[in-house]
Amino acid sequence: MDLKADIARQALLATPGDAQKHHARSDQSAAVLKAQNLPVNTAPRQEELDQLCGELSIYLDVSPRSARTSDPTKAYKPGQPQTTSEGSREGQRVASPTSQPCTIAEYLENENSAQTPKSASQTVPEQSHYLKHSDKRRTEYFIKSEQQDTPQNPAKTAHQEAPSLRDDEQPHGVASRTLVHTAHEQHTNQLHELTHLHKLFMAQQRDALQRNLAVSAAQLDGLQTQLAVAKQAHAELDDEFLAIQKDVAGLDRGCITVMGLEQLPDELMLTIFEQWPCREQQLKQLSALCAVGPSTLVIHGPHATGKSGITRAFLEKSKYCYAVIQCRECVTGRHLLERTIAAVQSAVHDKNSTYQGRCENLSALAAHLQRLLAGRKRFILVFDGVDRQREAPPTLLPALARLGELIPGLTTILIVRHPAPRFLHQTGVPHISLSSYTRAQSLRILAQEPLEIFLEPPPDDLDYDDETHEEDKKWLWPRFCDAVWASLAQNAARDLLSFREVCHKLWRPFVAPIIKGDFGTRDFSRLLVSQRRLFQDESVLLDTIITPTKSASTKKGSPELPYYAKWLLIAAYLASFNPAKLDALYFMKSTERKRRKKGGGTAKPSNRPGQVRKIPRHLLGASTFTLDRSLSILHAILPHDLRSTIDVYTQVATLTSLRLLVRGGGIGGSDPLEPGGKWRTGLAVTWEYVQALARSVDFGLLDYIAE
Amino acid sequence: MEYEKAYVLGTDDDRPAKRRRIEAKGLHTSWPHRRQAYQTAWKQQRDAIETRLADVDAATVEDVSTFLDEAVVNTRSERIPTGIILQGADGGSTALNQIRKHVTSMQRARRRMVVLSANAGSNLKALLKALIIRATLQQSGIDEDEEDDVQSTRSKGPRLLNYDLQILCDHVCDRKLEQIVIAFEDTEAFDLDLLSELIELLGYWKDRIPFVCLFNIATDVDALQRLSRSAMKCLDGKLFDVAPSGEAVEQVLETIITSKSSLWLGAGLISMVLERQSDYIQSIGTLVDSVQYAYMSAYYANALSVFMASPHTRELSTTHFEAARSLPSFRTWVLRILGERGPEDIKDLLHNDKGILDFVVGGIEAGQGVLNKMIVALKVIRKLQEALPNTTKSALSTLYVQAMSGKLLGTPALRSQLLLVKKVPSDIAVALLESALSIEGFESAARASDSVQQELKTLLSKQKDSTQPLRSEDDIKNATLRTTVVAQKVELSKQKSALSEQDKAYTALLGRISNMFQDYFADTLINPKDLLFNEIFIYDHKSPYREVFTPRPRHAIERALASPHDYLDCDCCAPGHDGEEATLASTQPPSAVLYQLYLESGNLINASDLWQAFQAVMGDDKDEAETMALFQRGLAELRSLGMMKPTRKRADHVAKVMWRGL
Repeated sequence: MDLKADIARQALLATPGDAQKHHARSDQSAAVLKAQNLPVNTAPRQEELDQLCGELSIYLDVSPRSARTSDPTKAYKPGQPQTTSEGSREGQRVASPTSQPCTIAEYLENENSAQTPKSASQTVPEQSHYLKHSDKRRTEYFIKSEQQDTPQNPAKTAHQEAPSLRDDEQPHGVASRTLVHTAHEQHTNQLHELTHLHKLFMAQQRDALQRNLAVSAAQLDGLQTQLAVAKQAHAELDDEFLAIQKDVAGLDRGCITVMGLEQLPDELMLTIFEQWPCREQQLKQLSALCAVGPSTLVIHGPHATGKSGITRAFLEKSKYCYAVIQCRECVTGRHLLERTIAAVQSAVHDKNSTYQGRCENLSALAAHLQRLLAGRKRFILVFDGVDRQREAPPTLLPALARLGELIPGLTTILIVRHPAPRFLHQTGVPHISLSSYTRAQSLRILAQEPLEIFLEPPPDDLDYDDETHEEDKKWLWPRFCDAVWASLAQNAARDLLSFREVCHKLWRPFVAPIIKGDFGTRDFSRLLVSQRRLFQDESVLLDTIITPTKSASTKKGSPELPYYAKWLLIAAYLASFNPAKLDALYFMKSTERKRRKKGGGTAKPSNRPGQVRKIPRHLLGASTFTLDRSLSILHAILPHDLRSTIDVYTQVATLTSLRLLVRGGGIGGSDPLEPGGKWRTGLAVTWEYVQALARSVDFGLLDYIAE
Repeated sequence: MEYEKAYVLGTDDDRPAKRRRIEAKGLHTSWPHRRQAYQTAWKQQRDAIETRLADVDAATVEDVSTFLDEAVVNTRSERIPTGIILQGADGGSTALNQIRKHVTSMQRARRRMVVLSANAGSNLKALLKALIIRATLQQSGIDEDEEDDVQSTRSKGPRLLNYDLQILCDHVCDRKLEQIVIAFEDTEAFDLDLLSELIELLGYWKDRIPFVCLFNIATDVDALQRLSRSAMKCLDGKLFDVAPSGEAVEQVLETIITSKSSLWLGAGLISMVLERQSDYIQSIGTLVDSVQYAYMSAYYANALSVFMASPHTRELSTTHFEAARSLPSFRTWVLRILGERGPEDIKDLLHNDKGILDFVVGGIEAGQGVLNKMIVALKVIRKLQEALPNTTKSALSTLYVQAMSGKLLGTPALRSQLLLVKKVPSDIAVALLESALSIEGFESAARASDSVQQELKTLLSKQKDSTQPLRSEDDIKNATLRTTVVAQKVELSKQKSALSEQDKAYTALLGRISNMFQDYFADTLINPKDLLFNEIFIYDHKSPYREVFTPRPRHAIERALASPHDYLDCDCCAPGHDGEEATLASTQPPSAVLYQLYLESGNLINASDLWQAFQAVMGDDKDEAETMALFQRGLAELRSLGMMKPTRKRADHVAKVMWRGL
């Protein structure tokens, strides 16, 4: 932005098109009067200007948030039905005529045209020598201001970026056009400067007028010719101004070059913004950082916050050469390295490579990459989810972070969920943080894709066309989502994906009464009340493989175990949950009487809880037992004699393969030939399960379980 | 022994004293015939079983197949379509095999099915390797011309690691495969974490490789619910039930019984097989194996089974006829005939081989005919149970076992059933007669029942005006119980409610029907053991089956160690004359001696004590070094048998880990 040109333009605008009229008047006293009036006149103008600027900035602040779906550059239609409470606010503001949304150029033009006639009336009837004089002064000022400005220039560009990196406190919805906004700010700044300059200039002018009042009359003749020259110059400068104006307007369209770094054009950014709502700020950061090109960049955020999505979307739109490696698809660390090479190779279209798929370690990776990327100015390598890489070598992350140091022009983007502090063993790595979506953001994102209310088109006689359907679902869906959020998702499905899943699961049953015809499409509150059961049932939050409706029809019960398998499992459970020292008490045939005595024992159970609180045994994990112990228990509890054939051992093997019995514990636990190997009952063998088994074989389990 | 890797068995030139018998003599001569007979008989039986088994699972297989077909068409879903097949504990992979046939038969080479079992690998890499190899190498032999393509594509890009699913992805692209079905054969046996990880990975590749999963579940669907959350999100499941194994057993047994086989399995064997089936096993395979083994033993071990193949006289040696003449059933028959008609008829049978051959073959056919009639009677019983109210249809197998043991006729169930027949109203009676007559093979008794049916119809036609069915007099519902108090005693008297003339006629008719059935059952449900030559066509030996299918390895080892004389049969350590238990003796093998000492001791055995006891048994006079060597070897043997192990509790003790008699 050339400040000099801008000020020149401003100054020239101060000599307006109707200068001739003023000149024709040639009423000096009037000129003086006006010159004296000037400060009085400009002050309210200044206020008005400030007010306008304020309003403009408010509008810019708010507009992206309120117009959630429509392009902010598009004029808002007040007649359109409002979808949210914010809509009414929006409507009010829109109604005020001052803040008609308009482009920057228009705005500037309005301002100028509003300002110029007044100021022009004072400047035009200058005498030629004054003009020269003031020109000289002006040039002096320009030089001065240029001197002031040139050091400011980089600061300004920095300022242009700075808010995008810093202003975290800014509401998320605002961020849509920060770039445009900064351009605006620049202009308003310039306007301020200009008005200030104007004041100075007028003061000088007044002095000059008073001094030269006598001389001016004599020089009036020469003024004509001077004026002609000035007019011509003005016309030229006007053209220039138009060109500049075009430039300003074209700021959105053209590629911005800041400090020699190319960023993505705003139009492209806008499309990405639309695709990934509520992520404007992070995208801008990403864009800026990619432009700078650090060796490593960390993008982090919890699950379902669009980390991979925005990276991919940005890179696809940008013209960087890049490769994305999905770490979750890599089975080993080696696999990751091989795939990295393969991906880079395909990205750079290295056809005549001699690479033969040998990339055993990280050094080899670095070497291969160096060779592949030799002579490339920029390359972006994205490791998606690298923190969850299986069988990753411990040095993987620090090494990947340093790849950029070895290979010039390489930017490594690491996408991780929750980075530990200093997990890269390196400082100064730029991070882009993506926080979870808030309620408003989640709702806004979900509202973009409303589901159909009617799957099949309603009969023709109902006079219900697609447009109304479209409107209705746009009306109903966000309300429904909000209800789901408040009832279920707020506590149990906060991330966007599970929230969306819950909404999708509940939508069909929710709109069923509408399809049936019990409620209209806009009867939201009544519908909500009648369907409140849906929002109370938490089972929808559980993940199931089988959709409940299907399982309900085919559920017949699980296959039964063979008779002796049941007994074996019961015996194994008893061996697992009874202490071995009590076996003689419970399972020896001779101790029948003793056991009975245990019930009405002499030691009175005290009501006071003991010193050590005991957890019921069946709530604890299964303890190990030797196979012989459980087989003896089996013999003891069976109501008849068992001829122990190979079938019993086969049964043990079968139960083991079903994980109902588990080999476990001790040295050599995995060796089936180890004498005295230990076993345990599997996780599936719970107290309830064994009780059901015992019931099915008519066995009094409670008599044998030690409490 | 430990220093050489292999031995060359040096054969001596001396020929063994015992030579192999090349020429068959006596009963052995019929061996080729019997083998032939076995093969034809078993083939027929096996085919019948196979077709029946295919029918059993047909519904499930068809369901799964349509599910897979749908999955081919509908590829938009992000989650992997998953079929969960509920099968019994070892409800074999028959269903899976049939599904595989379906998948590969249709549009060959466009779909693949990979069966993964838990032993394919213990980590993700190994599982993926197995999966990729099986999916890519399948049927590569069929289209050789395409083989080169795969090689070329592989050499195009960088060489991939062998567990990289990219290989499979390339393969899918090359062959334009539409579906990769991954069947997890034994889902429970998989480590759940590993399975979750694998499923997640498959889910990531779902957009490039059209996966479909099938899970074989033996216990409960809950087994899959313990997968990780993210893995569950990758799956979109549908449940399929395979027919319960009990039903399948019943079906197979019905096939075995009702097929027109010449051999009949006896009650003892069948009941034993069935019992084992319900007690221990669930797979049909073992049942079929048991039946096959029974056939083999019947034909191979019983020389007389050759008569079932109706051979010629000259093919058989005279020993066979002698054997047939000495059969117990023949002898009792001869005795009976002698008492009735005298020796004339029998003389021919005893002296003429041709005569006895014809007689045996005829006897076998007659016996088989009787048994076939008995099966028809069993069917009639089941039909009756179906038609009668408040009776449960009993399984054909239990009826068969009862009938083959000759006890069915006297069972209270059958008697009460016949009594019930007397009470049924007319509408049920009509249905009952109709269903009984519909059975094929019931014709022999049909004449009587036909006339009864005719009479019933005429009775009913007379009674057109009333919608009520005719009632029986014997039905308790039609009698009211009357209580009268006479001299402070309650008297109960039954009062028949008023019955019409038609009802009375109907009651009489019902009595005839009941009698008819009773006569029929008495005729058909005979004891098969009374049939002439039943030893030939009924096989009912339990011990071969028991020996082969349910051995007792642990018992055998324990017995061999505890009483070695049973196996060695040596004179030195024979038990005393008065049958007392064999005691420890130095003549017994050292491990046996040690084992018996081991049995007598507690949980922890002091090695020194054991040594002293051992030395005492072996005799103190012997060389100590030699005894010590024997002792150590015995200990090592016991240890390798898994009976004892060193313990960390006490350094000089060994722990006893096996108990006797389990």
